[in-house]
Amino acid sequence: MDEDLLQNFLDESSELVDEIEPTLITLQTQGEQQEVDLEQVNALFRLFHTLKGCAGFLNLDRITQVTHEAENLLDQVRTGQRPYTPQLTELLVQTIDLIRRLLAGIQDTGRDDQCCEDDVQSMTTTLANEAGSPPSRSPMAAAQPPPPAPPGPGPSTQSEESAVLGEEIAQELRQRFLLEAEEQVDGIEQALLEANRNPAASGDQLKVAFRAMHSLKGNCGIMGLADLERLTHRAETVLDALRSGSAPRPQRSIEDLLSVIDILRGGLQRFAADGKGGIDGIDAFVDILGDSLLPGPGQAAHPTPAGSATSAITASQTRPASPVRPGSGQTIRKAATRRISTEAIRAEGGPAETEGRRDVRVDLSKLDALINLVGELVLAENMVTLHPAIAGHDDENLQRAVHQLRRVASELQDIAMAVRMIPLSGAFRKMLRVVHDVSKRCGKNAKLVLIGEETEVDKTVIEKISDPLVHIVRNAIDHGIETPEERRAAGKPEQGTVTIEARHEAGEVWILIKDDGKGLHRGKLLEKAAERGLVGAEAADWPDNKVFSLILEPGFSTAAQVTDVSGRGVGMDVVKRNIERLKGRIDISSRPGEGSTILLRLPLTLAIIDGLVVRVGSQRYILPILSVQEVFQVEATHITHGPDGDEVVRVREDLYPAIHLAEVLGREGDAKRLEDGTLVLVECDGQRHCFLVDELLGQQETVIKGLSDYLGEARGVAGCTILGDGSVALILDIPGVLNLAAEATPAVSQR
Amino acid sequence: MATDTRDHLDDDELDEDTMLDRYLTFHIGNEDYGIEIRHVTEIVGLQRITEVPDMPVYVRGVINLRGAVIPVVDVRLRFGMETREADDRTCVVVVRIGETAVGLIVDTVTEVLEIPADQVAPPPSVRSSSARFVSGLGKVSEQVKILLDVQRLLLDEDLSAIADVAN
Repeated sequence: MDEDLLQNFLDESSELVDEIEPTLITLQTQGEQQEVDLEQVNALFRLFHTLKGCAGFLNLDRITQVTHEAENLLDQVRTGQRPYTPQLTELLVQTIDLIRRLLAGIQDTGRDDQCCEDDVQSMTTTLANEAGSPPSRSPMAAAQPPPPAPPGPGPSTQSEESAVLGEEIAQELRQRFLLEAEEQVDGIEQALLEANRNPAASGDQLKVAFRAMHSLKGNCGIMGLADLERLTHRAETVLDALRSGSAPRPQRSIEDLLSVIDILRGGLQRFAADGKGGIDGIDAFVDILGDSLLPGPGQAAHPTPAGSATSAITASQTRPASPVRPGSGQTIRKAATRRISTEAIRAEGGPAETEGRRDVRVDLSKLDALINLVGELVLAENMVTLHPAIAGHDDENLQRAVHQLRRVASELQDIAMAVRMIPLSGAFRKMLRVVHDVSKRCGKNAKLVLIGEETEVDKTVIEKISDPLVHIVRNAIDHGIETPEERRAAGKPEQGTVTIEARHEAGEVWILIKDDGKGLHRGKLLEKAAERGLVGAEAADWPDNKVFSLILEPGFSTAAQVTDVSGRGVGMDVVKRNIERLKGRIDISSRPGEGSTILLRLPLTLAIIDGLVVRVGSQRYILPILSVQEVFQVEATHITHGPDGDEVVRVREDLYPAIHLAEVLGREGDAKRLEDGTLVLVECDGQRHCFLVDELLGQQETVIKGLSDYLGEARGVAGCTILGDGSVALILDIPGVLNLAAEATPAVSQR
Repeated sequence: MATDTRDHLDDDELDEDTMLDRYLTFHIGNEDYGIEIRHVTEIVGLQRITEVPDMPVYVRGVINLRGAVIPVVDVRLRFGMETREADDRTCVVVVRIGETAVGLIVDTVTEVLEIPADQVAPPPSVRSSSARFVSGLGKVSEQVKILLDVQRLLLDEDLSAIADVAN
């Protein structure tokens, strides 16, 4: 089993499954409101269909089996034979879980028959039973209550009824035919590709292809599709020759057949659109297939019609005209080869879903390497262009070149940053499932509203935001949202709402998780915290948001019972740590009885920082601009010395505690007194402090380099960067610095 | 897949064969020390060190090595000896364990020696604080080189002290 193909399959299937889940939940919500969107059902159907095709191509029979049944069920929904029920959601959700397990099994062993055998069989049976007997072509629609999205108007009189029934049958027939035809075309294609790849063992494949083409021809005939029938008939002839070994140039025939597959698909698409399925330039294709059965080097012998056939082909396929050559068209062959190599795994190549986005698959490690190198380039560029020998040089041409270099490096950096930005929708949509599961498990009724999911964040942030989000949402439902009875009693709608909203705000990404549950109770929190010895008497004076933040402390939980879902007091402090590791902040606000809001504030990126460069002693440090409020110098008269030796600085009408950075960082600073140096006013968690530094050196946007893993989590330091002169400057982490300061002088922390 | 891994191993073994039993020796105080050359990536002169707060005393800080920021450890301090003023011969020996690169500050670097396994005696069972870094005693002509276990030198329990302080 080809490693790459398998890995490709696993990656793609993973994505498909990830897409299926939120769609299922969305349909569930719609189903409850009797407003099932047929397009969604179709989308879901197509996803399962694609999954089945891909799995089939790789002979992963278990997955194929299960997805086939699921696909059947969905087909019934989309043709109006059954409504979309919660029961269905459950079944399909279970199916998805099973598929995930099978995929994991494949990741480990390369096969899908090594685990979960019983589950596969029972799932298959359950799904099949649910689907009942295979739907026949009889007019079942009239016998059942009007389906959620009826294909035609509801029947009223007898004649109208039969007309409508006729309409419904035709519709049903069309759907059925299209479905089968697509499958047959897929199957033929797979068989041909397999035969091509493995000529020695191609006998069976060709038989399979022939039979499928034969059936397809028959079906096209029944549906009265002249062009399709004609083309499939000719294709069948070629396949007959191939399977009996009488084709003079089997390779070429196979290639031509493969390219004709595209044409067939086009015809089917046309049929889906206009019900007639005409094929432009069909004569040409028929001829080409016929020609492929002619012996000898046929290219030179072809008269002009073949030449025009080629251009007809290129025209109908709306591809840019490639060099036209006599014969059955190098263009087609090129397209065929391209298909074999890059699209070998796509069983469903038909109706392209043009979304305006053209994505390319890139190996993540290559992308990472590229982006890192861009970062290095920026640093190196700095070191060159800021070097005194270059910067001071008079040569105009040199300066212009330097300028150009700067510009290009800067643009590269912007693009590299943009490449790393990914919308939050992936992470958000996973929450649909979480809400679904947790609601059920806790006996609550809650729905999820997503706002701003297209907001983009750096990929490093995306990876780490998922777990905290899950914890917070679980908490919101488990502890926040009340039971339906409680809500009714409180005059609230029975169904609670959890809203996740994301937006960009001043260089940060804000993610808000709101619930309309019972909110946080200040008194209760303080009580619990006091019980656990987490706070003392002074906490009574704390502002609300500080009290609410107590729930982020390890070991804190006011849940009456420790439920399986949350409540063990392990969740929220882990969330806090994860967010801090992302250099973010958590703000909690709440109104008792009305609900709570958890605000996650994250930097847009962990890769670049806009910083203030300062000097303390002989070393330079960087302070994140986002935290800096102002920089100033102070006179002795504005400084007040407290009894414990702490100092407070007056700035206009406000008083701020001062911290000697040199002391905190263990260095020797030039300025020993506040009035001798420069003060930087920083804000953190709603509190402000003044840092004493020796000198302000400037502002710089710089690439953040992590400190070596060897050093572990260095408190007070968020990373480092290399300045233009090659020296290393540490990037300070304000909360960390404040913690260090608090240890040195306890009095400082109490502000 | 299995064959791939095996091939890879063979390559490694080949390299290790040529590096086996070879030690980079350096001088600290009155003694000569050696570390296996396979861990050493380069030797550079001492340059400007940027100090990092909140670190154990033997972690002197970080340096800029051609664009990479790597930590440097003062081996004297790691041994509990007194540090000494750097001079022209003070070097930084850059070693790599897995993905991590760390620079070791030593007094002087001497040479690369081959010390076959039968010339290496087991370490003394003295339970002193720095004895845990010693992997053996190598005999070369009349001299004894103290062979160090780089892994332990860098990653020994003392590192938990760093982790504790960090948390």
